[in-house]
Amino acid sequence: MSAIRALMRTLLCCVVLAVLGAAQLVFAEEDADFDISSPAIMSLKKSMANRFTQLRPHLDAGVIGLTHEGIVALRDAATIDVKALLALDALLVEENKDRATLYREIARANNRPEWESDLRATFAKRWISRLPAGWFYRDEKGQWVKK
Amino acid sequence: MCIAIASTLAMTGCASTLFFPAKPAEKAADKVIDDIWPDVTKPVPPKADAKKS
Repeated sequence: MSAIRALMRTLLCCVVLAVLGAAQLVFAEEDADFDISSPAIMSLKKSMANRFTQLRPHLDAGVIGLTHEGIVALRDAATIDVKALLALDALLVEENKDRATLYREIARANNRPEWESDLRATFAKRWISRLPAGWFYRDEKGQWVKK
Repeated sequence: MCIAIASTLAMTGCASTLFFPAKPAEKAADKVIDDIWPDVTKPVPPKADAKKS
């Protein structure tokens, strides 16, 4: 009998702890505010903002677009010459490297390195939803879609 | 009992690892996007009339 009581007490403790833990998580969701101001993040943002002036004409022209993976990719190279294509390719490599580092740094700055892939997906979603009309994005099926 | 409590704590720890605050992340993403693309996705303010008679 005393063993059953002890077991019940243990189970009750577990339930209380689980409820408290869940409540803490819910409040954490509402109060959470991602730190996006670390020196590494600021530096990445500056680098990407500077590069954007070079990428923008290609985004306007539909030569490149965003992808659901949160990167920038070549869409249609028919309108640019080889020299410009090589320069653009180098830009894309740098941009995507910065993007990958940005997602990792935000996760790290918030002491949640395991959130990197979730952050990448969130950024991809926001980036695509905020694309201006006429720009392209590549969806999960690999299809390019014009906004 | 200690084992049970420890396992519960471990489970809540796992839950917090899996738990991802999507809305705050979206807000953070928007702030970053605003900084990187300052004049792309914000609504364009209406142009004032060139000349008012």
